[in-house]
Amino acid sequence: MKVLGEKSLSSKVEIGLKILFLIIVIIDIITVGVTAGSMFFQFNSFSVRENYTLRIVLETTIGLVFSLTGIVALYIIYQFIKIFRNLKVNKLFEKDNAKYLSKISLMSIVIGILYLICFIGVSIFFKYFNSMDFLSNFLLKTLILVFAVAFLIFGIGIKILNYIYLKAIEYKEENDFTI
Amino acid sequence: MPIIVNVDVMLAKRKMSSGELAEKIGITPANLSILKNNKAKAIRFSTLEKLCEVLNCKPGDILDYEK
Repeated sequence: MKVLGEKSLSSKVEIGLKILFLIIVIIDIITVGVTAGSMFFQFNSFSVRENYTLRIVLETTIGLVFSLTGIVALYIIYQFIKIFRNLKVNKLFEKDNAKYLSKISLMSIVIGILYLICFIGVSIFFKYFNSMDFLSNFLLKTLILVFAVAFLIFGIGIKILNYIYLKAIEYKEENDFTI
Repeated sequence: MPIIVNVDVMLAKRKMSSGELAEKIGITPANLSILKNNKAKAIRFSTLEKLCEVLNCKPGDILDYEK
């Protein structure tokens, strides 16, 4: 199967990424809507009670952080789309691709940090408003932490790959300019 | 890069055109242009050998070092 060029694996991946982009846009809109709706509902229907402000602040922070990770993820996918668009037209060792990889790496680390913030928020939330059983509580926190660590490792890994890519561009230039 | 390629000087001395030199040493005019404009990162011994042969000179006549 053709890997690069028109009607190749890379062009199919590009289409897949575009679909993923749309799905994340929809999920993000729903998340923002649910967070905003929940905020509005709570402000209007709850009476003042113990730790009420803390609950609202925590719920909003967690909701916003999740929405923000979605927006950053969209940016990452957009950079991947640009890379695969370049691969489709056989632009392999271009400095643009290295620039996109660098942005992906930075944004992955940002998502990792956002998930860590979310983990802290969820931990505080469960400490004060423990509405779940121990196992669900533990699983949710572990899942968020795993996401945070995975994105941090992914970001660092992409940074290393970006360095290798830049070296490859350098070697290619050297080869091209050897007469 | 402090290495200077003096192919244009040698071409003027031998009253030869760039196109003719490119054809005789078997490289494209574009690559010869890279060489003449000091944009080249490296030169193969085989290319240097052909340049010396066609221009009837020594590597030192083509390559120079400036600090």
